[in-house]
Amino acid sequence: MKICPQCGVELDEQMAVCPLCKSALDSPSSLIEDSSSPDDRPGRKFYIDYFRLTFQQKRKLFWELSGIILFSGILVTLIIDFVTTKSITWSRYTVTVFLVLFVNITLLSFWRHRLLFLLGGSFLSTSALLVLLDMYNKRIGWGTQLGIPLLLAFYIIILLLTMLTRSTEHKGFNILGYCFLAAGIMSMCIEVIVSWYFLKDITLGWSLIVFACMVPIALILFFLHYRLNRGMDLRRFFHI
Amino acid sequence: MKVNSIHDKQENYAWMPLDNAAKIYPAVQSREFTIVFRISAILNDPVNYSCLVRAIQKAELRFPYFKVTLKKGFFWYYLEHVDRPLSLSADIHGCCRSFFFPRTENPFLLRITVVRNKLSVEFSHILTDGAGAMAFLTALLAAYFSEKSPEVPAIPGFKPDEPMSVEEFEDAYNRYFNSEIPRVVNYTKAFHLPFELNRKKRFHVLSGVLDLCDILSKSREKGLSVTEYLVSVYLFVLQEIYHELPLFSRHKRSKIIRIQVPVNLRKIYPTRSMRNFSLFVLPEIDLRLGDYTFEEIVKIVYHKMQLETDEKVINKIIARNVGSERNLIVRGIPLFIKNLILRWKFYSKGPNQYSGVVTNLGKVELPDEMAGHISRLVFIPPPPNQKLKVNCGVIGFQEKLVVSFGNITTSLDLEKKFFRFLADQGIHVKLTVY
Repeated sequence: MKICPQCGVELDEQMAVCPLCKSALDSPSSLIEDSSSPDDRPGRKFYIDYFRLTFQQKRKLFWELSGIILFSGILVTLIIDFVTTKSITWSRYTVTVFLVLFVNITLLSFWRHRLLFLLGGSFLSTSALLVLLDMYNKRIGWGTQLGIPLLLAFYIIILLLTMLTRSTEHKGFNILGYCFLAAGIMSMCIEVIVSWYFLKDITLGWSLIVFACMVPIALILFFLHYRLNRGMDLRRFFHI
Repeated sequence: MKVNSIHDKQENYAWMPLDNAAKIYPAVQSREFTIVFRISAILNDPVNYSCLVRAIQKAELRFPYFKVTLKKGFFWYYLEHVDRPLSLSADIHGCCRSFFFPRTENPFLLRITVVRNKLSVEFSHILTDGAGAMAFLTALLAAYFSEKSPEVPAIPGFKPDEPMSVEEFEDAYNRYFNSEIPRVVNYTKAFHLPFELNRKKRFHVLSGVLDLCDILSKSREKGLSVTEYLVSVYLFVLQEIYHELPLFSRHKRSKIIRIQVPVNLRKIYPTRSMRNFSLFVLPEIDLRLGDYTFEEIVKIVYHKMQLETDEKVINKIIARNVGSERNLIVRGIPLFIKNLILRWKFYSKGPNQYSGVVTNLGKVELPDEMAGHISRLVFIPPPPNQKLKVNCGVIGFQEKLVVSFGNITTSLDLEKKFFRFLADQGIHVKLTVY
């Protein structure tokens, strides 16, 4: 009799892998007569433990690994910079970028489902990066007045797009349609912000053309989705 | 009416409105308040994977109306048939998890899990109640054992090749609704357990295996059914917990202890419906009137249960529930607004009105050829919400009665007092961590 050591379920003799937990059963230890534990084999422990991890534990593992890699990068760049220039110069940039990257990975790992918190945190950290880059190099100068408004427009559009996508039950071409519309709106935001930054005036030119091109594409996608979607039976959707 | 052809199937269960009891659940369910319950069969031998997969294939042919997913309409949610096979998964992620938070690959409102010798089915209350789930598990077990040894008979009425009846997926509340009947009055706020909530993931289960003969003789001694006896014990224990509270805490809490006891309406109204068809009886004690002895509680529970399971009183509750659903104004409200109202209604009128829930699925009878392979059945009630904190589920099989407490608090005081009381009465209790 072949028993899966993880699930304890009886399996057919010819099964090499438990279809439930994906544990390998090719060793004689999976036979019930054999009392030695399969977990004793080197490498086996990690393999089983990894599969037994919950999704949250796997995310935490990813976060820890990212932390180790990024903080090692920070340490290495700081040491190289200090050894070669006897002060902290260019490594400020890499350290700042790595830290912002780590904040974003942390947000994604632990607050994935809290959309406002995730996007808000990501926006604030990336804005801080732009401000710091401005501070490090006075010649950049566009971070606060141009970079942050563009970033804000981008994050608001992403927030709305994600909320719309999440609330949409039948996902398909309609999501692509939303993306095209969002791209059109983003291009208008870009033109408004850039023209205000350079000319202190709001003018709409090329972005209107982009938006006008996006709308019919989105409409075609919506038509394809809702016309061809057999799930959209009006009788069941509107039953009262 | 029997359903045989593919055309009939498509006509009848391609989509279904939610039954009356299920209508509120999609609005109130959450990651923790999952409204998912489980029935497990603990077998004598490890489950054979291949036999079980073949058994599932047979069972799903007999219960196609359970192969549905929840969809959002403009006015109401509805169930839509999914033409995919039911899957089997390893029972390693804990019990009674939500089907929606997070959304997984399983589109159905039922889940079949297995670990060692434990075969479990989990159902969302949106789809069915304990009786419907039990019918499915029984048919699945029959199919499984007949795969293992052909001499096991199929369950009458649920043979895999037997045509199903349209009645099996009807909303039986609607059939027995009478618009002329006056509505029931609302209840006042009830006492709630004072225990501190557990840290997430909160839900844990403690089961006690009781000797069925012991408890039957004890109940009969008092002239009660097993359910009435257990509800009396539950009320008595809650009274004890109330009196152990500090004076100030006692003062600010409601002094009415009320238990919700689901009643399977199929025993009162003839129907073969496999969807929700149960209502609740709410026996109570009012501590403002003084302390109650166990004998006094027994008397109250007995009479309350007899009175409220009367067909005329049940008619009143059905009239209230179905009447609201049929109201044109209610029907015309878009779903997203209706959800807000239902949620508010549920938390103000629902768990506020009772202190605990005791669900007894009754004694399950199976043919000897099957029963010999099963050690016991366990019923895990849906995780309670943060107000109720503890739920209790009961199921009997052969000589064992399994009482399971689903708890989201740090305290096991209720369970401890409950089982100690039974043990003091001379009932053999064996505790098992589920």
